[in-house]
This record gives sequence, C-alpha cells and structure tokens, in this order.
Amino acid sequence: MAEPAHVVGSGLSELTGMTLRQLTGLDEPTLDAVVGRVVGQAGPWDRLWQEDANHGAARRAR
Amino acid sequence: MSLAPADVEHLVRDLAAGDPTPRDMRILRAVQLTRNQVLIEAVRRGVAGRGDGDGASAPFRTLTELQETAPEVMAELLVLPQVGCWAVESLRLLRRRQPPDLAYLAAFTAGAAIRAGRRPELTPGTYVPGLGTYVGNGWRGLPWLRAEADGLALAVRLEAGDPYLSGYGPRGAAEPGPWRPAMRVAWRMLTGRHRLVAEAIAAGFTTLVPLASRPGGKPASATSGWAYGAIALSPPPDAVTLAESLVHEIRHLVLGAVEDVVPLTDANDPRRWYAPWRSDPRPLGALLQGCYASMAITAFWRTEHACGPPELRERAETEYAHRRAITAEALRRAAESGSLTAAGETLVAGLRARLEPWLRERLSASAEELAGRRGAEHRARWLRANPGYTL
Repeated sequence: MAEPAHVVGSGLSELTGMTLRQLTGLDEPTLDAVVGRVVGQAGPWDRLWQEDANHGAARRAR
Repeated sequence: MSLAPADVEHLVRDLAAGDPTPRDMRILRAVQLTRNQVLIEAVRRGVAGRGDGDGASAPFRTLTELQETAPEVMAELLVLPQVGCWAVESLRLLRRRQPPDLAYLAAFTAGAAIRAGRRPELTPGTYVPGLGTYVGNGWRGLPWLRAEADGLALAVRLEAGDPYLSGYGPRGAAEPGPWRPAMRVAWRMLTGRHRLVAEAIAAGFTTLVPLASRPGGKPASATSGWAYGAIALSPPPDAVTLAESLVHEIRHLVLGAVEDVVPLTDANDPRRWYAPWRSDPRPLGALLQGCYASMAITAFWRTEHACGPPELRERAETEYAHRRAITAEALRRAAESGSLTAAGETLVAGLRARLEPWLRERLSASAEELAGRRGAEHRARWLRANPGYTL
C-alpha cells in the first residue's frame, strides 16, 4: 500500500498524474478523503451553472 | 506531474489576473483527468465491495490495461465530460446501496478499446460515449463542429444523446448544420480580438450539448462542474451572442476545475446571496462562480466597445456598462462575506484590482443610465421574488 498523500486543498493535486493502476494501490483513507472533499454529498447536477433559475436542476445549489 | 501548493497558488493568481494561460489549461486538464480517474477508482472499489462477481470488475481492468497500452487515447477519453458525470452518479448510487450503470462503463470501455485498435464485441444499437452508435456494419458517429481562424482550431463533438449529459435542460437536435455559420463567425471574432480566451476555449471546450430553444427565444447556456469540457447551448440568435456565451461558459469550466483542487469558499456557510444575474439567492461558491464568469463577459464587451465593428459599438457599450457595474457589486459582496478561503481571497482581490480601473473609464451617459436602470430593475424583481432578503 502506498503511504497516505500529504493533503493540501482537496488532496487532488497530490494525485495528479497518477495512472489508474497506481490509483488501485492508493490507501483507502487517502482515496476516501479526496473523494469526500471533491464530491461531498453531491449528485451529478448540483454544480450546474446557468444564469437563470428556471430549471429545476439549477435550484439545487452547491 | 504532482502539483505543489505553489503551483496551485500560481494558478489562482493567474486566473485572478486575466485569462488562463495555455499552461494553466494544461494543468487544469490534467487535474480533471486525475479527478475522473480518482472517481472511477472509488466506483471500482464500491462495486468490488458489493460482491457482484468478476463480470462487474472486468471493464475497470480493461480500462487500466488500455491506459498502459494506449495512454494518449485514454487521456483524451477519460477526461470526457460524461465520465465525470457517470462516476459521480455511480458513487451516489453506491452510497444508496444501488448498483451503478456498468453497461454504460462497458460501452465506454469498448469504445476506448476500438480507439486503441482492438475489436471488442458490440451489440448493434449500442451507444458508445464520445464515439457514437454502433449500427452493426459500422458507426453512426457523433457529428463534429470545427472552426479555424488565425491559426487556431476549434473542434467539438455535438453530443445530444448521452444520458449522463442530460441535466442541462431539454436537449435540441444533434444537427450541426445550423451551428456552423454562427460558430465560424464567432470563432473569427474570438481569435481576432479575444485571443487568450479563444486559446482557453480551444483547449477546454470539447463537447457541445445542444439545448432546445427556449420559449421567448432567450438563449440558454450552462456548464456543470462534473462535466469538464462540455458547454450546453441553445441555438444562438447571432454569432456575437454565441461568442459571449463561450467566453462566459469556459470560465465556469475553468473555475470548476480549480475548485476540485482547492476550495475557494467555506462550504459550510449557510448564507445565500444576491447575484445580479440570477433570480434566486445563491450560496457564496455559486456567487463566486458567477463573478468569475461575469468578469470575463465584462472584459469581452470592453474589448468589443474599444475594438469591435462600428455596428456593435452601442450594444457593446451598454453591455460593458451593465456588466462592469454588476460584477463590481457582486465581487464586493463576495469580498465582504468573510467566508472566502485564502485562495478565494486571492482570486477576488485580483479580480477587483483588475476591474477597478475599468470602473473609471468614461462611457456615454445613455449607456450608464441604461445600465443603472437594468441593475435597479433586477434588484427590485429579485426582492419581490425573495421576500425576507434586504440589499
């Protein structure tokens, strides 16, 4: 198992450039922490940016 | 290419000072590629934890192998906007103990294998993300929109059918013909007078999701923080509006990618804010997104006012007067919120410093008056629609 990455910000910058195979070796706490910070409790359309609020999806703000 | 904290700080300072540089765009693309891969890995582990058998893990293994044998192909495909949307939706389903859509991943993997020179078995009628539909004896490929001017090329997929790019609103037809004339003119305009932002668009805009025309004809445009590279647009009334929309939306894609690396606001701040371009109160992060995009629109109209064709000057001056006023107002609210992170402070301070001299530029009294009236009318409408708020 790889050592936990030093987390600054979301922790994603420290993983930038890793391949899918390298990520399979990432320890669970580090992966969980990065995913948790990037995704939170979010669904796919909670980061929708548009000028008007007339779409139902746009009402769900990040 | 791990990013050091100094790289991230440099990136935020760049974005505060002006348009993202080609280097910034390369960094953001790499970040988004990694983000999608991290999310895919999280989905892989979630699927493995469900114990659905070896078949469920097969597409993940294939993707890993393909990345080793065809890294350039996979770098193009794994950063596609629908990959991020699929992955985050899959994680949401896994949290609810529901199975993710592995058929979609299998189709994506098959497409990647084809691009890498393999011949996977496909059922006719299968939609392959980013590629098109397999029809048995060949492909009904996705249409592309291409434009080239002043040595800078733009090439985007026209993607009207992907189920994971469906959240922008009712979609329009996957028919490139109506887009081409406006895109050609808009691209000439952008490469000629807005070179840096055109370079950012060429680097970051990969997928156009056509939206249906809205009742009343007001053009619609949107982006999602999970879909790097995708811009959703309704048919534009003219090429200038299309150019403005691209300038606006690329900024959302850029700042969304930055937010994945470093938070800009305190996400736990429950307050909602007046944004002069929206009818609903917005969280601070969304207000900041709007500020960053509105700053680009301000710069766009400032340049058009100064250097654009004579027939556009009046419109450009009015839009510039309006945009610089509402952007300054929204940036002041963000700056005074007390809930920006250090990176958010850097961004907002830089945007305000850039905007401040523009606010002193003399414009005609009629443009200023119209801008003032538009701003006042929006505030009045907003207050009526959102009782309990004061401005």
